[in-house]
Amino acid sequence: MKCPKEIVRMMHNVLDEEATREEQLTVQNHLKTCSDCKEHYEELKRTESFLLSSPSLKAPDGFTSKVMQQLPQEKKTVWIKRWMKSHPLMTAAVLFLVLMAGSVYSSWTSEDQMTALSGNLTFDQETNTVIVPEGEVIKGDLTVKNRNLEIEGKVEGDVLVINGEQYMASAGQVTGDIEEVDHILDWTWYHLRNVFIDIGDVFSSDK
Amino acid sequence: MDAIVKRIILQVRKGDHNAFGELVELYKDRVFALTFRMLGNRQEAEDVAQEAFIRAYTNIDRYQIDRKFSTWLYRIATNLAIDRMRKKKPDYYLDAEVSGTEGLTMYSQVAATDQLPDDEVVSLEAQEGIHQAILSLPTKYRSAITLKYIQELSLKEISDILDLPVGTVKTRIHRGREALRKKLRE
Repeated sequence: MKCPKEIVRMMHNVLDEEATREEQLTVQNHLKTCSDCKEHYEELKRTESFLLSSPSLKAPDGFTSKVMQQLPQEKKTVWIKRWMKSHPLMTAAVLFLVLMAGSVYSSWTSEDQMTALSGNLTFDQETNTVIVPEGEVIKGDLTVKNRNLEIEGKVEGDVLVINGEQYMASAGQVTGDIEEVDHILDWTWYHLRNVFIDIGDVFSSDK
Repeated sequence: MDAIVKRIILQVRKGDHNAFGELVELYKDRVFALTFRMLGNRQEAEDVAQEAFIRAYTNIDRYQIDRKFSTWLYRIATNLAIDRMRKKKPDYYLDAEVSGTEGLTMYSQVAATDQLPDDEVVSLEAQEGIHQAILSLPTKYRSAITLKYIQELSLKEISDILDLPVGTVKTRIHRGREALRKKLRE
């Protein structure tokens, strides 16, 4: 039997699953009658199954790390983000400290001020001193910041002097505690302590 | 799979090394198989496969996210392997007849050079045979055959990787398959 033209091409199309219905039939019918072409087709099939059965290869050990070592440096921000993801507690702690330090520092450097609930205070600009005049009675706590304080009268409450000095005249009188905060560390400590006292208050008031 | 790969790639684009590590893990075996079948030498195959991944990393912004990542990666690897093959192209072919003899090719003069680790010795002689047969193919058939049978890709994907019309890919596979058939007959 005479082999149809292009039978080999059609066989390949069949192998590629690209053959038309017509081509498939042509090949099928031809192979039934032509032993040469049948052998050819069988050999192609065998070749194909050999190719498909070749063992799956594994990349050598350490392949990934070798690639990683050769990559260009990664951006810092990515490193930080990943660190934050894997250490959430540390991140919270660091965040807390940063915010805390920020607020403490800003309240440390914020405007000079003095607070008192009642009573008249005088201020000496030359010596940057707040004076509780003789005979005057301040009711409530007195806080003076970035200024000195001279007490000649009486304070019925606590006195807090931040970043300043406190003089007590012999006639002066304070019924509560006197506290001087001169250092930013003290200031931080003072804030933290207040925070904890507040927290303590919250808990104790719950009970 | 595709969704995972896409998510990883977006992370890589932000510069995340570890995400790229995941990508390497996913594809290293297939890329290595590709370069090994093309080059026939483990050391060279590893070098080229590594370079392919590094190129992929440095060019990740050029990858179009809506395309298949494997196609893009295989394209890089295939091109690098073809470049390497061209550079080391021997000035004689194993197929060529040894002058002064009749029907004797260089194959008979070459000892098997590929030293395989112990655990791979199990692979049958026939498989070593098919490996050598693939290596004896001319570059253009070799890349098409490797992509089709080792990576089991469709003709369309192969045409994308090799940047050739599907018709050309078909022809190369047909011819490559014919050449292998004849080799395996010997």
